[in-house]
Amino acid sequence: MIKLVDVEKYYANKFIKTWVLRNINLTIHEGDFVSIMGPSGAGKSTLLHIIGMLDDMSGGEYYFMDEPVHKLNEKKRTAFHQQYIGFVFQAYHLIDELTVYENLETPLLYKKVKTAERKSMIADMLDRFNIVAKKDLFPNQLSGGQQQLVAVARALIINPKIILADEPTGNLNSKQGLEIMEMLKQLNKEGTTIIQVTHDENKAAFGNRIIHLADGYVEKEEQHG
Amino acid sequence: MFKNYLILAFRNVARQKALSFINISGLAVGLACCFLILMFVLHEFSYDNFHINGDRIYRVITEAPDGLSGIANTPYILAEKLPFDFPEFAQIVRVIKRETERIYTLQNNVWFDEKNVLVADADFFTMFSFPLLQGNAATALKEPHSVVVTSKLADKLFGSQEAVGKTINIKIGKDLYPLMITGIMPSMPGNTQFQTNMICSIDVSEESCRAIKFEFFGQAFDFLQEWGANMFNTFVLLKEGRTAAEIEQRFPEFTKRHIGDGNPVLYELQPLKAIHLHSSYLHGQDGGDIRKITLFSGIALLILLIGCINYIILATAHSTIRAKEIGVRKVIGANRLDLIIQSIGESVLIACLALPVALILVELILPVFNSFTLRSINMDLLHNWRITTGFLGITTLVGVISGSYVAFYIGRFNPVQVLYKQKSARTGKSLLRKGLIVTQVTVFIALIFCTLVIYRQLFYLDHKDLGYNKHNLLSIPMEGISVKNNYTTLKQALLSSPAIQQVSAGSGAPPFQIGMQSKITVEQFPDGLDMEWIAVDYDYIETMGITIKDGRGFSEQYGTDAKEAIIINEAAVAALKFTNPLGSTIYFGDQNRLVIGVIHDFHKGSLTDKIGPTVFIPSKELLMRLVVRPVAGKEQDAIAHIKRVWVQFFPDVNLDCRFVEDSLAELYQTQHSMASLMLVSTCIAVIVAVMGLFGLALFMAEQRTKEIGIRKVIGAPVSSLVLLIFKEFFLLVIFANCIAFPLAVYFINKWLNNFAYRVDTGWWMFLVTGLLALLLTLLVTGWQALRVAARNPVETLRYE
Ligand SMILES: Nc1ncnc2c1ncn2[C@@H]1O[C@H](COP(=O)(O)OP(=O)(O)OP(=O)(O)O)[C@@H](O)[C@H]1O
Ligand SMILES: [Mg+2]
Repeated sequence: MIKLVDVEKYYANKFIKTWVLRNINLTIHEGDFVSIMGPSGAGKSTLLHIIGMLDDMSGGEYYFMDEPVHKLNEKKRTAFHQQYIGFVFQAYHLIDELTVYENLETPLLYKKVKTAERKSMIADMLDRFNIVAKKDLFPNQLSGGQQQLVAVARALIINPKIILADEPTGNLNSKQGLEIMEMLKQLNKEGTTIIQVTHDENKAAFGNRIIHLADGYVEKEEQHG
Repeated sequence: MFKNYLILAFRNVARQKALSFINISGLAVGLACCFLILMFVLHEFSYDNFHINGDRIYRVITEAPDGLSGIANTPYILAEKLPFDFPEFAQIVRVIKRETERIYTLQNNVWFDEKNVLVADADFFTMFSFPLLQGNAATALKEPHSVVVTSKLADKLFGSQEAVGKTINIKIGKDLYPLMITGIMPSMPGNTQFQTNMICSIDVSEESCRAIKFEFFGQAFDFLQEWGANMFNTFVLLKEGRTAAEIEQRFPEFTKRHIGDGNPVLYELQPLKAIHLHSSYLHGQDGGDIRKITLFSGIALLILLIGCINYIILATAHSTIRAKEIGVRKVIGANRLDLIIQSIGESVLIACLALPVALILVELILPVFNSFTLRSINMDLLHNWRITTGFLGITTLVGVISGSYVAFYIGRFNPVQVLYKQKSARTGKSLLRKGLIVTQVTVFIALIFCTLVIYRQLFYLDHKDLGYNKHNLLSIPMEGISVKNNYTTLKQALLSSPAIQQVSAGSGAPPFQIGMQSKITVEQFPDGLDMEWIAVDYDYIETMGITIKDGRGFSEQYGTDAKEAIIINEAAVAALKFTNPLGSTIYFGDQNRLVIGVIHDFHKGSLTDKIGPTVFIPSKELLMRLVVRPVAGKEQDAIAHIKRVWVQFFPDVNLDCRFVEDSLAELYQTQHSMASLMLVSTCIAVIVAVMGLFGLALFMAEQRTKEIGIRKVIGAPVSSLVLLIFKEFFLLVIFANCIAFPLAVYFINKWLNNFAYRVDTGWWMFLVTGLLALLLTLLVTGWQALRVAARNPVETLRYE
């Protein structure tokens, strides 16, 4: 489903190039649950952004469902991103001025989903995540775990092929973190491909593959189950 | 989608109270100014645009050879002669406005004062499209002594009785004219030059002209035959397909034949619709002025610009805080267009919230505005679709323009950058925002500067030494033969009061209306020069306080003065190229006269005009105006005495006694009203701009709360913290000064050049304006910095 060939990323200023990613060769299949680990500054988030088409790469090839992403223009990429990819952040990043319901609604609005369909999709999602009672609250009225739950729900509502999660449990206590991980595991079982970044061995173990990044290189890869 | 944006926008407005207040009030003020001006401009451009034949109606005007001035009026005889030479005129109508007439009805013998009486040729109602409520437009003014009155006046005169067929009496000069009401018209619309309650048939003017006996050097002056008696507006209706240009071409030949080629008169055709706005260069014409409209509109747009810039500055500053939201939206699938629509939607919403506030402001200001501009404009949103669409259009446009820039700014955010860097880019960094701040400050500095200069020029106009003693001087017109014939005895009677120091008279008194010109001949100029002359009583120069430079004034002791003496001013000395003026000979009127004195130049009228060469001749016949100098401090006694004497002498002639100083002040009324306008708009612009700066400073202080906290912890004094914020603005204000002054000087010089005598823009005015701008900035920004600096640093640093 995802194929990275010799992907590299650097930031260049007048004098020096700072390499962030080098020689990344990676294939991710549909249904995978991949954990990316590595020390701070290794380039984990950068890799995730490239996969999520939020960031450009400096070199290499990237095929998403056999489409050469590195050759697409911005408009096409946005469309791709909108269609297939859900993103979850460590800092939740819900829109503060919108209620839970409206936060869930926004991605559907951008996808121009019809009103009736939209309503039922949101209702489903609220149900599934058990947050019906919270639908009219604003993010700052929720706990961190609840906010992250909403963020996952928001990522999921467009029915993405893949969910990219950058330290989704980083800001949560261990109980809340575990709940989110269970949630992701469940989604994976239902067929969604997941790539997460984590610092926590235990949480990495939820995935079936663990990729270790160091200094921009893929250091090693472990297979689970 | 739209609902989503709307909700978000509303919540943002509600949450950011200070910001929203500044945005909405700034835009509201700007919009209100624009609305007012829009209504004013639409009104001004609508003058006389409703006449069915309007495109074919022209007014014949007399243009001065320099093309810069002219006379709106033409002689009576012009309309008599035109039809023979110009068959392309379908109709010719003379109109003359007679002011302060008195009328009465025979029935109850009560006098009514009626200003603005029009006298017009019979075709008036067929040439112009003023419908009659009663009577026949084609014949209403055909019969001698007929009059059409407005229903309002008819009500006033006759109440509920039928007015048509009744006779009213109108008094012109000493004579009564009985007029028969032949038609009733509705009140004149506000947007026509013909503001009147009654229109009389032309014979009224003919008779009153014949009644005036006026002699010019022994020759009777016939106002109806004389080509120099410019008294009437002459309107012509062109036949279909004829152009003004082809007719104007034949005017020179026409004037040459009728007037002779000694003093060529340049007739021109002025389109009816141009009269209201494009006649300010013509004598004898009041009305609008296109330049005033340009000025008003320019200032209103500037204020609106400041309001918009406020919005943009604050919105872009705010967007750095909202960057996270925008990043998130991009991540969850918004494309560029979505974000642009959102940001434009938000600014349109703000503009729409400002709209009702603006409308309320307009409603409040309109009465003042109307009395100020002497118009009767009302905001009739339901019926005037032009105004309504104009308002909505401007509002939307303002919203879209402000929003577009913000959208462009937001569109460049890289979501990854804004979502991962918790600290967003510093506000002071954006070059464009700096540019906008500079623009705004430039505008307000320039406005302050111009206002200062205008007030300084006005002070100069009011206080300049005019070359005579204008204080405590009364001027009284001596209209009618009886007054002039009794001048000598009147003078004696007036002088009998101890409150009156001097009494004299001349063919005019300051401020002089159109001067009298005649040809004079001297040795150096055998062909003659046109020069202004003033006929005066012997003690006129002395009474006026005009100073003599050389020689002597007129005196009755020299029996020869009456026929042989002439006095000239310095300008005349120069114009006539006299090296030794005293004793030179000037041929004037019908004989040679000897220059007995040279007086210092004095200002006959407004300081907009240069002092022209002028000669004085003694005369007892051509005196038109009495000048009276009361004893200082006894002016009221003097006026009371004048009134008593006047009633004794001329019980049926109105006394119109005025201080010369008051009449002079009236000359500068437009300048004074323009100055007030500048002052008001400058205040508004400054307030709006300062509010914007205030918002930005508030913002920067908020953003730098942490930095300021840290600095405070490591021991920085509060003053250095204030300086920190102020520094960001200081250079911008200095820079704005540099742009503002050349611009302001350019524009203000354009205005100052209207005056032949004017102040210069002194360096201290730059200094005052610049310092004022800096002070305002310091106050506004310093206050914000102080507020933040006063906070407990422990508190501000805790969150991170
Ligand atoms: N705009 C930029 N300019 C220069 N270097 C950058 C920029 N953005 C990121 N980097 C660098 O790229 C490297 C990788 O950053 P990245 O955020 O991917 O690390 P990470 O593995 O996610 O670290 P962490 O575990 O702390 O989140 C870092 O060394 C960072 O300094
Ligand atoms: Mg990271």
